Amino acid sequence: MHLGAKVGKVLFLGMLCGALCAQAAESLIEEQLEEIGRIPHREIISVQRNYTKKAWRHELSPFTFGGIPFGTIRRTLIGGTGYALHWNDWFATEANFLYTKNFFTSFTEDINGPDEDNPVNTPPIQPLVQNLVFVLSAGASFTPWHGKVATFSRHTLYLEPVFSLGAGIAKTDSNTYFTFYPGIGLRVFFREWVSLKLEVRDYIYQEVSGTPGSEVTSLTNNYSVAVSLSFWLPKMPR
Amino acid sequence: MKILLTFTLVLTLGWTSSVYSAKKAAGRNNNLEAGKNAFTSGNLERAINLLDKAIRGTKNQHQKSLAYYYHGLALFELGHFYSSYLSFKMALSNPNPAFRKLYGKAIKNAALITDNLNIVDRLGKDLEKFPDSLINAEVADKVNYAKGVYRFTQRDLTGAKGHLKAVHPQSDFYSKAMFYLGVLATQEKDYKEAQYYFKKVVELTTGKKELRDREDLAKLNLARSVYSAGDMEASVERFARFTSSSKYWQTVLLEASWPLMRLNDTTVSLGNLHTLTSPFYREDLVGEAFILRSIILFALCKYEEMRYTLTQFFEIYDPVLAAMEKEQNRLSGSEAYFNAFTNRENLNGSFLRYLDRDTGVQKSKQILGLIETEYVDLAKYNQSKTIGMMRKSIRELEGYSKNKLGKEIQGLHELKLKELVQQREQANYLKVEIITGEKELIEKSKGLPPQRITDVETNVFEGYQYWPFRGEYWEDELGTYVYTTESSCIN
Repeated sequence: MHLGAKVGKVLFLGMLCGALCAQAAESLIEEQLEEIGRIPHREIISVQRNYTKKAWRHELSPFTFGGIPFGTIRRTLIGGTGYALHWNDWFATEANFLYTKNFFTSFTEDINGPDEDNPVNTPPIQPLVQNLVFVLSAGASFTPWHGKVATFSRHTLYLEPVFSLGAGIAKTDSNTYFTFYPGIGLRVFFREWVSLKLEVRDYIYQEVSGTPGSEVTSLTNNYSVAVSLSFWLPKMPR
Repeated sequence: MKILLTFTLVLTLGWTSSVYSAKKAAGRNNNLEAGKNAFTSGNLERAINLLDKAIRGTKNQHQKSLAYYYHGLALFELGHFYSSYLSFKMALSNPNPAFRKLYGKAIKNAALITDNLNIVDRLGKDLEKFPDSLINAEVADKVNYAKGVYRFTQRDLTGAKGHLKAVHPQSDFYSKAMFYLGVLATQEKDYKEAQYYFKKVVELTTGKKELRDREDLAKLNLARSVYSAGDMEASVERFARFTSSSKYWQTVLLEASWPLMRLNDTTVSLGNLHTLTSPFYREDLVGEAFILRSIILFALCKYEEMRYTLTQFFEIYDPVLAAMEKEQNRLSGSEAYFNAFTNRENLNGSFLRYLDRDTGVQKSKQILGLIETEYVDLAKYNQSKTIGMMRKSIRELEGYSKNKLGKEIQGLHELKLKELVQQREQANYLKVEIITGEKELIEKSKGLPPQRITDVETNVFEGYQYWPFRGEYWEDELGTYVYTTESSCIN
């Protein structure tokens, strides 16, 4: 299945139609013969090696970089590693480990900054945020389709959408939570043995905050965006 | 008293003269030794100057040959390959049985250099005059190879075969000798023998990265020989061994289509031709692909598409044909063709692209570049008689090579023009055939509705996948197209 829009298709078909139509108008015979022997382009196919063949291959992702960039108060950088075993071309089981580094956004500084309307110094606000330390998770991923895109018919990239679902533990600086995640991403193959995956995941857990006896639970969404470089073993036979 | 004085004077003069001569000889010897030392210590430019003095200053043939030999080595180390060959060649002059060992070394080096510069026939010519009795067994292969190539260029096929067959299988030149023998067998239309030699070359070169070009060329010639011998299936199988990374990929796609057509395998042959007639090769002088495609489509009664293919042919190649005819009238002689090629002027883009793909032309161009650089580089040494002669010789070679390359380009231009004219005639003939075919089709259909081609179910092997062609060519799909078509003819 071609995923990308094929540049020039309309133009080509237009030219083809133009040429054929002009010839067809030449005579009645030509007109009658127009349908005879025409080969629609669907009868021409390109048979290629499947670059995205994955059955019983190991996907090693030693480098994952990204972040959880959408927090108002907190921004988190993530780095990690992963492994996936592909059972067939569309299903894989995977395990991931992510380690984090947290930063506060300028939001806290802004609200604690000098206030001209209220010159009396108020104590600075210290947001009570539980920083994510690491996430260890396992799950499954699905790649129902694959396709390719090209720029001006050259520079072809083989790609496929990836959907993932899994669960694991998320350790914050004060608690450990059970977490689960849905994810969606795009995998690009440069060679049959190397690929890059861009994925958005939401690590969801019930966060418990407040003082003992008056705990408050809230559903926390950690939307992560990460890029992973993966190597595939074994190599496909030539 | 007077007699005594005269005698003393004569004696003194004689003694002085002999001392002077001895000193001079010692100086010459010193130059040779100093040159050798400079060479071994890596001071190559000094070595060249000293050895040059040694060459000019001695009449002792052994010393002269030795000086030339080291001179050649130093020049080689500095990348002055042709000059280095000239020095080794000079080391072979005035053959003397006492210097056999030195000759062996000089021949070995000269063979390697000339082979890389594509002028091994020159060495072969020189060695024809060299006494066989002075050639060491270790270099006999190189001598036979050089002589074989020389005879080959002189069209002495028997002589060439004799020498080339004498090259030992352990020799570095064995695969090349086998290749020449394959070409000779092809010239004699002995395709079985040609297959034997090309197979040998493929065996010897397979898996060796540095010999990939030779391997591919041998594979191509093997497939051609098998085709010429009439074994269509085997030839298809041979052509199928090429990958798109090969330099000869285009040629293979086109040439493989002939045996495929003869085997009635229109699926793959039309697929190959679909690649060649794509816009990617619009300027690659592949008119034959359009004609062949039309012929196959004619056999399948696909007149509409045949007409489209021929229209494309006329659109693309009529301007090229006109340009080439003009060029032929405008350019006179090999020099004009050479200049047009190097300046990339006065030759149409399609033909220039064709030349850029031609490995022989490209190699000659590369060698010419090396020779020109060498001429300039030699200017930095003492302009002695030896260096002067070398520069003069380089100029001569440059002129010869330019002329040879110009002639080659002119020949290719004539050939391609002739092919285009023939292709155009065939295209016109096929155009007429379309009308005849269409008439026949109407008569045979007897008012029945025209045969419609429906979608064909397509399965591919495990590990492969297929993409439909919807009118746009993708670069990564080139060479992988197949036609899942059926004949539209009415029996």
